[in-house]
Amino acid sequence: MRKEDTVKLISAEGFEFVIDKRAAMVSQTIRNMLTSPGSFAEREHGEVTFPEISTTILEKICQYFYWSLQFASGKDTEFPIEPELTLELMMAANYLHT
Amino acid sequence: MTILRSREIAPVETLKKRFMDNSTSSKPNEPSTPNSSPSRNSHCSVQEPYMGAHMPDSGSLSGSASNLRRSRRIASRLSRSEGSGEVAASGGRHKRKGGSGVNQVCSVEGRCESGSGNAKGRVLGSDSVGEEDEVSEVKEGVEMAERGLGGSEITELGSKEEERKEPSVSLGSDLGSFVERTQRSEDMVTVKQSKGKRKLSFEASPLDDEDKGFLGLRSGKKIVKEIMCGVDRIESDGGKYVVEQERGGEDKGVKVQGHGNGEAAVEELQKDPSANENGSVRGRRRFTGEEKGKGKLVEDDEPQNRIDAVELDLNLELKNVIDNMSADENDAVEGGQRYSREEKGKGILINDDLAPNAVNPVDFNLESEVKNSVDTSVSESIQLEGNVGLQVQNEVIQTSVTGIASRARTRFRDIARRNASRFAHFAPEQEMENHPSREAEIQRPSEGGEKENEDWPGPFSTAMKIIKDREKKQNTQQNSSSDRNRPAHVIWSPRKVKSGECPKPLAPSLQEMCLEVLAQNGDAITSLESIPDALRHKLSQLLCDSRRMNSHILELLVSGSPFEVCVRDCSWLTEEEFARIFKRCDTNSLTVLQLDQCGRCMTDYVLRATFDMLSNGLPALTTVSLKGACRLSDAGLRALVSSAPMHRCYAYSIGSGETRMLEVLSVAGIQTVCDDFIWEFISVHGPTMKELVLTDCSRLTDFSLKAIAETCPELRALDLGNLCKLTDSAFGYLASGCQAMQTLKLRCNSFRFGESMVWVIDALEALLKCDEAIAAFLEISGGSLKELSLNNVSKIGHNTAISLARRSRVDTFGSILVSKLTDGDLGFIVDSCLSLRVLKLFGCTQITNMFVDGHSNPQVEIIGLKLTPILKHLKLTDPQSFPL
Repeated sequence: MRKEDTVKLISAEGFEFVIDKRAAMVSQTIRNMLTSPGSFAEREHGEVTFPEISTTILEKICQYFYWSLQFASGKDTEFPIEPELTLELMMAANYLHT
Repeated sequence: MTILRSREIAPVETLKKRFMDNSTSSKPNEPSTPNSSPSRNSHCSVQEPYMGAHMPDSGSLSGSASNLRRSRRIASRLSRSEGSGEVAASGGRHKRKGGSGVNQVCSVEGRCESGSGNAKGRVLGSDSVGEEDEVSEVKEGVEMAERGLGGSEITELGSKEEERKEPSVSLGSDLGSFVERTQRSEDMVTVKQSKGKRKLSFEASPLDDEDKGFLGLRSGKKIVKEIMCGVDRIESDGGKYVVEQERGGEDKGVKVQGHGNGEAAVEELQKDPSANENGSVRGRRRFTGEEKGKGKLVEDDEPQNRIDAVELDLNLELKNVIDNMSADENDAVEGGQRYSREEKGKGILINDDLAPNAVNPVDFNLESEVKNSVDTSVSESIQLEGNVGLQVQNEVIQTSVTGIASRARTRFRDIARRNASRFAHFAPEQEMENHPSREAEIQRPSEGGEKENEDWPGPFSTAMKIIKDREKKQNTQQNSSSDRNRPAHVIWSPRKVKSGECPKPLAPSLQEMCLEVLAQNGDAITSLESIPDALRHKLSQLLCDSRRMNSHILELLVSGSPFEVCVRDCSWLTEEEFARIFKRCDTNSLTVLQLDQCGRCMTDYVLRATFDMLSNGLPALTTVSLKGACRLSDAGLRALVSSAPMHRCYAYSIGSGETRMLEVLSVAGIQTVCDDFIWEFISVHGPTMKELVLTDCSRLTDFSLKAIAETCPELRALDLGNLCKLTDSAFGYLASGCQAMQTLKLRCNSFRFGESMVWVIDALEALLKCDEAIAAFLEISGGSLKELSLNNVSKIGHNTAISLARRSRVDTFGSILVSKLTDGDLGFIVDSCLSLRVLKLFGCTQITNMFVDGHSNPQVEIIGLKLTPILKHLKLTDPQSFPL
């Protein structure tokens, strides 16, 4: 993947997840960050930091992004969610507008 | 345009020279001029005699029309007959004026209008001249005279309708002289003719010149334009309409009822001097303003269905207007003209099968608003007025698009006329019931008790006419071209490009999926802290829906210091649990408490006990919803209220508790709620009431609506499901009184609609019986209509489709069990309504894939055709989502 096609999501602990831009755009929040006019740091560097989202949750979210792209292209699979993560995952999803 | 009056009009001396070509009669009231004068109530002394009597001649506008307008109208009519040129001559002044002038003249002549010093009378004299000018001017070719004359009288046979309508319409709407004029001109002709026929029996002889509505220029501006927009001749359905002006109680709602040969005698309600005259807004805008307020056009031609009582509920304003009017002669003149127009309009309405209801939507309330809109364009007027029929007509007239206006008017009138009988509705027993109880407190229309049939043409009837015309034209075309089959009004061909272009299925959102998981494993949740309220509500909703809600979760919801606790279904909750849970609840910051379906757990005892335990009460509580609290009585509610300064209280199944700042009240389902209760209740809480739910309170009648309209100016939402006793006049009231109305829910009601800001309509079978009615409704209200649902209205058809397509602001269109909508119709709708987002089609088995795949509106979501999850689309009531 080329650098221009990717976005880096950084969790609270500092873990960096490099994902496809299209995947990241599933989240409305991230999409706005990256596409809004004006030069935001996120846009400049292609990096978004989430100080409130933990690593495990952020990882799950990235998985969701890819799963969502697959779903839209036709592959109708299940997305497993572990119950322990659900509460926090829900709040993160709420924040990310996804 | 010169409309020849078949009816000879008694020589009426038109003050104006213009008119006066032939008007012979001199100004002063002359009993001899039966024809024209009647309209001018003020002048004509004959009015009285006319009561119930047919106008002697064509010109004899039923003298009952005491309104000046009437006389004016007559005068104008007369003048018209005399010399159409007059009208034109009058110059550009309001047409109405001209008409009124004429009317005046007429009235002077011999209209025996009650001549009770109605302002009109005065006006007539002086105004007529002026009026005429005005009148003629306005209308391009409209003979002012026509208008003038025609106005007040109920246009009996169609032709007059226009004129008549004017008067009635003009009451409220200030459509302005233009409208009147246009009407007048058109009406003139008809009026004249109708005059003879029309018997304006003015019971209330005090026909104030104030024109019933038309003239009523409240602010002196426009007189309600009578919708009578010159539909004139066209409409000679022979419907007469009786416009009864109901006294708004304020000024004089003189109700003039024309009886007699069934021809509607439009009586312009005289709005007492103030312009109660409905409809007969004679050219004078001002009159109309006044009249509008007051006059209620009520047609009470009971014996004849056709007569639609148009009730111009012109309140207040009318009074003022009338007052002004009285002072203003010119106004009177105009008023007179308008009156004639109104009359015409009304008459037409009556004649048509317009049900009183149909007309009613036009609200005389317009008048209040209209005051300012003297010369607003038709469309504008229509919006303003909100008065169906008459007003619309007036407005229509007003628009300078004379040709169009007159055509429109004609159409409206036609439609109104055609539908009058269909819509006519009178339930005397109801009136009688309420009559005694309310008599003392509220001024009820004098005639026939509550009977308030507003028959005057308003925007609704006007729209109806248009649609009928359209249909008629199409029919004729079709008839001529044999190969066209009838239903093919709407031609729509599906997209050729095939699917494969269907929008991609959206992946379910992560949030939703998480909520679902949570709902599945509710018991495993240990804490709901830091979860935002919105998510909590969604969770609780999901749980209640899947019946997994239990006390564990409720405890979680209640723990901490919650801001909002919303549980949609507490039927599982017992009293002990409730007490236990809420005892330990920190309610200091609780602002919203929703415990619906709490019949089992909520009793007076428990509630009181719980509140006793609470240390602080409920200091921050603003919204409480206790639906289904069938075991709770006033005392319990009082306890709840006393511990919280509540602003909103949904008190279902609860009697009239004491709530100080009540904004929302629902007494849905309480069958015993009667008019008296409502009246007392809103007299206390009316000014702050924002929402009222009166579903299933089948005892309520128009009277309650009237009271509500008068005392609840801030009412935003009203739910009137299953109130079978309401008639269209209720709409009149609402339109006039509740300007802030945003949501109106109707089910199984029997009226026809007017307009509103946002309407949610559940039109079950009894509701809208015909395609054209719905289409007409859409035409009027479409500008603001956001959601339309037509359940089980079996007659929805092409007209609706066309109207709907033109109302591009509709967001949601639901058609349940509407069997007449075809693929073509739906495709047409969907492709034309670019803002349509949701289309619900439950039970429409006739829709095939041709529509589903072939429509080219990518944003529309079609629900209900296949077995898709239905519950998703249900709109759940949400305490926060009310119009407040």
